[in-house]
Amino acid sequence: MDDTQLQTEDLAVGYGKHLVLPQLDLAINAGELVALVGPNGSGKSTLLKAMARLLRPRRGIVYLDGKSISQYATLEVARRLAILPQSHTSPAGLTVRELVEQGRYPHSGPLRMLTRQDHAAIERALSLTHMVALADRPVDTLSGGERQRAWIALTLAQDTPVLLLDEPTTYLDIGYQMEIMELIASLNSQHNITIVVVLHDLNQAARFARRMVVLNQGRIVADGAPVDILTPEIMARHFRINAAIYHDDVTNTPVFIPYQSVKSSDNGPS
Amino acid sequence: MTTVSAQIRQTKWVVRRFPLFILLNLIALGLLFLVHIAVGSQYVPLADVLAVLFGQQEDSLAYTIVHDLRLPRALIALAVGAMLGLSGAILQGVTQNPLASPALMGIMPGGILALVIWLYLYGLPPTYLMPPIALGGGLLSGLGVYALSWKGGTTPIRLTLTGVLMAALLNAFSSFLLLIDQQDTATIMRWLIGSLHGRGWSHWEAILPYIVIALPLGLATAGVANVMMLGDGVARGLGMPVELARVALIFAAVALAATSVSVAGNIAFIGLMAPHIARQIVGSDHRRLLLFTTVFGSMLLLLSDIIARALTIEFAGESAIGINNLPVGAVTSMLGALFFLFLLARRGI
Repeated sequence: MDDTQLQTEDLAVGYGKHLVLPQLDLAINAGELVALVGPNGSGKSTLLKAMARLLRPRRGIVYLDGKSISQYATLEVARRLAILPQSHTSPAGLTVRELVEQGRYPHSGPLRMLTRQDHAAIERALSLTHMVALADRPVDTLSGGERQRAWIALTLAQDTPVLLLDEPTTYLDIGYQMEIMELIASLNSQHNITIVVVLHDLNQAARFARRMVVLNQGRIVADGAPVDILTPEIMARHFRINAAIYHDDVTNTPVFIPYQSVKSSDNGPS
Repeated sequence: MTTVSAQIRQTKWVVRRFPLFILLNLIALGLLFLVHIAVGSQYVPLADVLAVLFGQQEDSLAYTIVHDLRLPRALIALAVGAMLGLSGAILQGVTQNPLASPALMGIMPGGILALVIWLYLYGLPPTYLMPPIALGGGLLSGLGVYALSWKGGTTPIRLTLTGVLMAALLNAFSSFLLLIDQQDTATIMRWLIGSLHGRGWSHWEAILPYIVIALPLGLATAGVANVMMLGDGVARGLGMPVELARVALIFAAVALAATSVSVAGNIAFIGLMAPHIARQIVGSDHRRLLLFTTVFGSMLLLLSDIIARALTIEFAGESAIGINNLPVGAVTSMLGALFFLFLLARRGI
């Protein structure tokens, strides 16, 4: 397949003296929904930020639509790729619509008036996330799931072909988690948005993504369909658990049940 | 729950009818402006005030009082209140701290110190030179805060802490020079406390060019400020060059607040209270917040100055007018203290 949309080549990223990602090559194709998974500190968020030019790499190149991301104007990148970082603060008193309007910044610039096209994109983002009825509510009065939907609506208002999400379901209860994951899946399948999403819950990743990339200690240690990733060997080696793998007939995806942790001396990542 | 839904409704009315809301506030501002002119050791009836403002009664006593003495002071109060309010709103956005203000962040103290140093070295500068001197001091101070906050980039919290430190340092230095320069104690004290006493047309003319440039500049930052308040990560993702944006926002805040101290001194709390209260009323969207804070800052300072004059007349009597005036900075400090008490009581901290 030669419709690579986002790619890292010989990428090295670090903070201070510490290299989080020593050398990483990854290609994301147009239309894919890829789950980035891995244990704590494996470099998932760092990779996502580097791919969205929020972190400057020590070495290597991130390609977006075939061109080095550092050669685009930063506003041009924001018209092609949207990222929702993991931690974001909702300013007090800002309504959902006002929040979502900020997603048009890359299109209208600093001294803007919103055009009809901007408003259309805002309405579309609100309706895709089912936030129309809540549009005039202050974001800080919403529930966790509604708030997360509002922030996703902000990235959708950017109207980009690529969307990067960093742990969008963390801190949400299981009902909201499901809702957010279904939204992400439908954005990918029905609106053809290329999505890379960092997830903690492996079953959730297997359920919704068609491709899973496993990171451990800054390296890609497995990359494939959920059935290739949810295996006893990978669970033991990279997630330090002994797990049984089953096939779920309802969703037609693999699921695992953890039994016990693997002692850290038994199995280290190579 | 009821307070939340009431707050939502209130926000919605103000949001939906924002132009009307601003118009109502401008009318209230106009009334305060007239009252401000009317009140003084010699009360001038509102009808006479209006008559003079609309070009009648040119050779009357009312004309002398209103046009020559009170109008410039009212105009300066109007402008300085607007500049301080707007500056505070921008700073609170860029530091993501609702308690930031041009006084606490070292911007006004920087302007004051520059004036005090000039006074100490060369004597009192001519009026037209005061705004650029204060602006220079404010810019140096702002630059210092930014540079000291730099650690491979700046963060809102480091900017806030460095700003508070800078303000304390600069104020201490001004007080020290006050000690050395005993001759000019009255002038320096007026700068340090903040006063509109004796402000005339020359002061207005000196500051007018800065108002004309800095106010639109400040209001134009609304779009950038909106993106910046979402946090650095989100702002970068939206294609915002965040360090450049921070420098631009701080520059706008300095241009507003530092020039204002050259005619009014270090008037405390307007730059803190006005945006804080304004945010409660119109929400956090800077397109509304900045505009309303500008109007509201003017109203607050006009009101404070009316109170200052009323108290002076009440307690000092007419004989003392011109010698012992209550500086408006004392009134705004008092209002500020009450405001903080109110915040503490309401939040039950």
